[in-house]
Amino acid sequence: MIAVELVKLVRRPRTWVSIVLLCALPAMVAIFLAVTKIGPAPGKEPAFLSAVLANGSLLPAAALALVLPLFLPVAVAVMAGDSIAGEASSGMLRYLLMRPVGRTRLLLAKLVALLVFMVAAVVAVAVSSYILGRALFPAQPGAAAAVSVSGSPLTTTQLVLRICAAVGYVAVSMLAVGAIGLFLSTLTDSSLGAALGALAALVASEVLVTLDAAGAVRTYLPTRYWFAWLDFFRDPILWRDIDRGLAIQAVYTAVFLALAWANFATKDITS
Amino acid sequence: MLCLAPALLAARPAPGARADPARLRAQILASASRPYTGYAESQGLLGLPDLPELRDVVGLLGGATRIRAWYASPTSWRVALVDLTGERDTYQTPHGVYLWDFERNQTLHVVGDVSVRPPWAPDAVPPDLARRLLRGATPKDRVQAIGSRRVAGVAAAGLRVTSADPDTTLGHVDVWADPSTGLPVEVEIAGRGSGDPVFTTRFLDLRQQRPDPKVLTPAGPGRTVDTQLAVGLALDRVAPVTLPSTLAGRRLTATPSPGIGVYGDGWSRFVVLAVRGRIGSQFLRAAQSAGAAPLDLGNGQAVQLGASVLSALIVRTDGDRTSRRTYLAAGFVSPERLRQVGTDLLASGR
Repeated sequence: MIAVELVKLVRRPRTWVSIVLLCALPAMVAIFLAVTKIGPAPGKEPAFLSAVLANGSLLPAAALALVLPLFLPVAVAVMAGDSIAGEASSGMLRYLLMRPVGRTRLLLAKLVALLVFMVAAVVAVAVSSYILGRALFPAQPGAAAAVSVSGSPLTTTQLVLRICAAVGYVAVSMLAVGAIGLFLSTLTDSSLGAALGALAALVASEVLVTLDAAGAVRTYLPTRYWFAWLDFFRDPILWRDIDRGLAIQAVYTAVFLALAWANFATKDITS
Repeated sequence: MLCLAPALLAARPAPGARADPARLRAQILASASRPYTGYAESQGLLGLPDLPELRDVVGLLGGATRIRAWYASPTSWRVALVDLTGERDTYQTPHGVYLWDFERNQTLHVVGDVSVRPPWAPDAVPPDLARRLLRGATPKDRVQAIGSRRVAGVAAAGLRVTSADPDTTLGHVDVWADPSTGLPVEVEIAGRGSGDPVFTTRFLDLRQQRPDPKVLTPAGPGRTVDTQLAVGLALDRVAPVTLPSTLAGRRLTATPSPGIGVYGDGWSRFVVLAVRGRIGSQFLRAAQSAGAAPLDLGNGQAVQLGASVLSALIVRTDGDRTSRRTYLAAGFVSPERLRQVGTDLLASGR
């Protein structure tokens, strides 16, 4: 079942279009940056963009900062929202479950396909940005491959390990979006409705994170620690927010996957 | 229950960590040799207007700040201001102060005295802020014990210092410290007549151990410039004039550089800067556009800014572009006292 879902994922043009679009945004920004040499002023987001002018190896980090707030969650929410509701809206879900396939197995297969999409999308953004960054921008002068956010030199191995860690963290950060989208996808036959629901939850979270008055609940919001991947590039690495980010994603994922399973395993399939 | 676990753990009552306030105060003042490594967050509610050259100060006193600190001794420490776009590090070494700014890819070596300067991130680290405030308290100020708190895993004893000086806008300062070592872990500053803190800083993670010497070595590449930067305000923007020996009845107690003076002592002391013409005009315009109240002090121009407990005043003497002077005065001092400062500055005609 998992193999079937993965094959479907690979064969769908939408998968590739999403990934290409995700890679296109940082590429477009990199080209503008390379041509104009105008980076953001200090204190202005996205992170790492001004540093890219001095060292193209940091473009993957800047690319993650570019796609993380909006484009990546939109892509994941669309994929998650479509996973069950898409089958239902096309009338395939009933026929799918008539085969000797358990609902739990089907949900698990959809989840694995979603995870593979998340990881593939983030890795594609990082790899394409790295290649483009090396091509368009100068390398770090001296023996170091890059300079950490704290100013210490990083070897090539250290830089690659930290980029890999950031890629992994960003992929994990999308778990809550995916789980919420998957849960909503079991509630409705409209994949668009499920995707929009997941996005609404995210937008609400992002608004509350910036609101001082919501300080009491900020720590528990799914987007609160999204940008903690930046802490991999500090020296020493600041693990505090990374640990909390991983924990909060685990809690949201566990709760919403449990809800998705409970709902999908017991609902009447009519379409 | 899973979601509530962190809040429940944080809210569990601290064991009765009470200490004699006078003894605790002495312990805190003697804690400068205690090494530590920690992560702290500060929150300021002073709401300053966006003044040119002082944007870092505005951010520090009027918003949330995330700070990492590695402290080995008074001459060897590092404080990193971390945010979503980079990091700014301050290194105190036996050879001077180094400032690293990731976004500018620049290291600055600060030459000269940095004791009088606008507030910077290291000031917001609880131990430094607590010692600074307690040193500034006078014998007349009342010191009393307050309830203990659990801060960064430390069952901290608390003390409150209530100001007896009618000229300061600070009402009281609460400090919580480890009763066994005297290391302050949380500070709250409240204005006069209000119980709500206007500035808080506390450790969220703390290890009372000597940091790895490697993290205390300035590592930033880029330009290394020997500069006489009085952090955040370059000295070449200060007009090197002689300031009056007394303002509003307060004696000049320190002149770290010509054109910069510290008047009075205790929490009500204030700083006066003579600013060069163009920068002075920028200050004045920024203050006016931020809604600063114009003052009629007889001659010249004057505006007063009140941001919670912080009072600031900008005065400009009459005259042409070459002869007129702009002064900036600020401190945790009553607006009435600061108006008198403005009157005296304009009367001095310097």
